[in-house]
Amino acid sequence: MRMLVERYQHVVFRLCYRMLGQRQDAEDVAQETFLRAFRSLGQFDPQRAFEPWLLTIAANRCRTVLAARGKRRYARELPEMLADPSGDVLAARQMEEELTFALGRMREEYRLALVLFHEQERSYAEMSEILDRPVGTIKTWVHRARQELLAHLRSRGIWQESACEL
Amino acid sequence: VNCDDFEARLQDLLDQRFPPGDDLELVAHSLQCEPCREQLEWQQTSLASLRWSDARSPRVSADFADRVVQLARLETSRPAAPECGVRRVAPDRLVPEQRTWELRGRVSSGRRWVSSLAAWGMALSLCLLLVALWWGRGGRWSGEVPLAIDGEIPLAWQTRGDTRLPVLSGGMPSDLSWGAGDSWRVFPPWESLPRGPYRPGPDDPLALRPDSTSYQIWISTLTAQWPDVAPSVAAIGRSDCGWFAAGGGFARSGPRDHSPLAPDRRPR
Repeated sequence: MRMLVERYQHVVFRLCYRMLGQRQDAEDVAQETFLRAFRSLGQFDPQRAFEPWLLTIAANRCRTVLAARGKRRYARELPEMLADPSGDVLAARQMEEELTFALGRMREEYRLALVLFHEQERSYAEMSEILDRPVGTIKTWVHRARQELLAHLRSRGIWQESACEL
Repeated sequence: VNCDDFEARLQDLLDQRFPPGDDLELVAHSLQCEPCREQLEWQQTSLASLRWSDARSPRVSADFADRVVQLARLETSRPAAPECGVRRVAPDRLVPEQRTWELRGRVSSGRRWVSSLAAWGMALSLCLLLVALWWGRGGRWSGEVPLAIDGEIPLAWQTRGDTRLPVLSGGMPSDLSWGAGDSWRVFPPWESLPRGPYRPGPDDPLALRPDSTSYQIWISTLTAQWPDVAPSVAAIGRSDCGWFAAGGGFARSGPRDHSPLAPDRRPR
């Protein structure tokens, strides 16, 4: 049991952290995820992969917590507007803050899809199983999430789009 | 490649996790188009920032695994009902040696909604049942619903002044000893009657008067619309009182030592 937790705790926690934006909430949900998984082990088919099944539980728990939060769904403070959109704006810390803020403004499905694909590097097939949606739907979510991410960076003055000359 | 194509091809490359530099046409366009080149760079930069580096990666508390294991053991130490037909899997078997497992199957997210709906449905049904019981027991007829007395359900209530006396067993109205101001409110035991085209409901308590007008109306209604009910058929009631047999009819009122019936006319 300990091996199982230690093996998967980081992947579950990181998903929860990206979804909830708060460390404590993420840890609570990760803990609940493991407990629920242990309770439901009898329903798990050992012929299937365990990790997507575990992440399905984690994603569902995150949605439940977000729904319970109501309007205060993603508790992150708005970072200060960047004074100079050029130069050092690529600093990792600032970018991370902007990303976190942008994720908090996305629809839950888009956020989950973006995090699973780009942060956890899951395949679309895996994501389809985790999110219980067709691959086409998942792709649409990821594409829209990328577009929203760029739109956010533009709105925050990080990236100034100019007219295409060609 | 024009600017419209650029977006679609960039998304395809990102979906396949190929470096955009692998697409020479895309690179060629981005070298000529400043906005597309910026979009390419920012898309790569922002998406790469989503991946945690080891230094920045948030980590769970050091005692996280201990806590989870402790809580799980606490739960499993409680006795639980065995799950029939379900194979238990040892947790240690679930740790893969390599991350190359194949994905198969699917977990339905709708299942929890179904179980949630079922729970709410059961709760609602229970509430409705309680309301129905309350309604039937007296919520509506407060004071007039026959209540069990000494294990018997009165057939009627006799009102004599301020006193209400339960009618416990059968007889004929003519058997009753009527006094001035007496009135009878009868709740026949409809359940004991056989099925037929007419079955008085619980909303039809019969008001009796000494002239038995209501009684006659009721009997005529019963016999006219229920022709297969023959008078004095014992099957529809313990009636030694002729053809009126609503499960015993009515007459003797309680308490037991206060019978309005003449002793020689009490039902057997």
